[in-house]
Amino acid sequence: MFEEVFEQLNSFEIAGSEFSLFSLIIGGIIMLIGFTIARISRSLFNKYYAPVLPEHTAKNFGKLIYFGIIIVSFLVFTTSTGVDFSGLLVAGGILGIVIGFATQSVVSNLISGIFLLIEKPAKQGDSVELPDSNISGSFVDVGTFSTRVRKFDGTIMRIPNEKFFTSNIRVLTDSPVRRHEAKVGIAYKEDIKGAIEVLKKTISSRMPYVLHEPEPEFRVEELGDSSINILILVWHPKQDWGKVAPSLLTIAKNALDDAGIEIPFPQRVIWKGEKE
Amino acid sequence: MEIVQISKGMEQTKEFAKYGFYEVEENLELFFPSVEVRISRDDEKGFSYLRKDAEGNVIEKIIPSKSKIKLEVAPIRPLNYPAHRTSFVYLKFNKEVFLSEGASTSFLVRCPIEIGIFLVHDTHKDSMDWFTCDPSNSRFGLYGAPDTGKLCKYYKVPIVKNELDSHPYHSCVMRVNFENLLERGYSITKAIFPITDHFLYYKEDRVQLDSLKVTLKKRVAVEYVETAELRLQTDWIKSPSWEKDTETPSMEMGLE
Repeated sequence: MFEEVFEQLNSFEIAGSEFSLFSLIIGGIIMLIGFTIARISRSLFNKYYAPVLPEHTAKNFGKLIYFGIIIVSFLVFTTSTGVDFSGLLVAGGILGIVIGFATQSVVSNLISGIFLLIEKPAKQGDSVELPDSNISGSFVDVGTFSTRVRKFDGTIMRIPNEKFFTSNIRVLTDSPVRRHEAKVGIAYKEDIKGAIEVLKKTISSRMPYVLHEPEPEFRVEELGDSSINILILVWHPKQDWGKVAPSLLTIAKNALDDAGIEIPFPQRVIWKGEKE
Repeated sequence: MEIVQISKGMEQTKEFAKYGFYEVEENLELFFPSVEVRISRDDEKGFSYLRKDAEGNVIEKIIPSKSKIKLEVAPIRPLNYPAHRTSFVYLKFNKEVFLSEGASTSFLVRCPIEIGIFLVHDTHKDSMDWFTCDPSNSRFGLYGAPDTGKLCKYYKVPIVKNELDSHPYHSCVMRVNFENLLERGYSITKAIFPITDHFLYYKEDRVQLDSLKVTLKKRVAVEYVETAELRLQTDWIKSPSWEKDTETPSMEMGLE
């Protein structure tokens, strides 16, 4: 009885291909060695070469090395066991369609991930914004099925690759500089030119991250209900938004206060009608 | 320390430290315009280092050393204040220079500097601290379009008459050689170059920077400017570098 079982195990057929227990064990060992070599190679790469490469390039190279070795191992495995995939392909045709429908989103995310790796809409560490989804943060990486963005509050947002790929993506740190805008209002009685001069001098002396070329721009944007609204446009190095944007309005307000220029609060004059 | 006049025409005089080497056994005080540095022996284990800068910021460090320490105070490239973001410098000249077709000229400009403090060992110098005596004039500028341009440190600089006409602790003097190989005259108002190719040289409180060669050229239909560094031949002391040096033989940029 044992001999029969052993003989059956020694030679059996799957999808038209004949296997032996021995060949499967060899194949398993090949795959195990392949996985081990892939992991070691990726670790060595991460330790010795990745630190000198840009982060996104290092991650992609790491993945390429890992999956490349596994694919090569699989090919060696199939060659050594003599697997003929033609039978599997025919048998798997219908099954493939069924699975395809069932895993449509999975496959779609996988393919989108590949396209994202090719297109590289952002680099690791770039600040990105997805206006449609109201998501902004630092681009972490593109995974097999999803893309990760670290929001500015420190939490990680996982976005399916397909959604990320088809979204409008605004990369905030791709250019060497960025522009920031702020609006201040001055009273109608004030001299516009004088107020702009005060703002210009203060920004120039107190904001070292604001570019002097192109110079800060000041536009009278609106003759508002209560004030003349001046739009301030300043450029700064891409990574220094945090040193410019939060303080621009404070500095502008203090500068106008120091110069005795009134920033009016909204007010409405009501005329009381009387009967003739 | 000697009495040093800050610059011609300025009435204020003050005892400012000169560039060079200082050996510290117990205490050392160095004064610069609006910056002061104090080093004192804390205990047997080391020294304490304190710097108060122009904006009132105080930086304190501990230098572990059982014996005396040797420092070098030297001018460094103006790339660190308010933060190191680029290795390019954009010098906007106070006067426009017109170069006719085929002409060449050379003049001296002031170029800002920062000051570095290095701990000197037998074989090397460690970058320990840096500061600027002129923070209000250390700003950024962009050369080119916002998406493709170069972020630079931006300075408005005057054209000066001789090598000693630097502003101690604020600026050095650099020679700029211009050559126009275009088939038309061209007005030059600025120079943009990677300053990490250039070395600084000091003597007491005066500083010079390696020269810059700027050539206006044309390749087929494209006019461009090529900049290259020219090593200075001088007996002044070469400053150690704060940041990594680069060796770019030349650089091409589009003409604006």
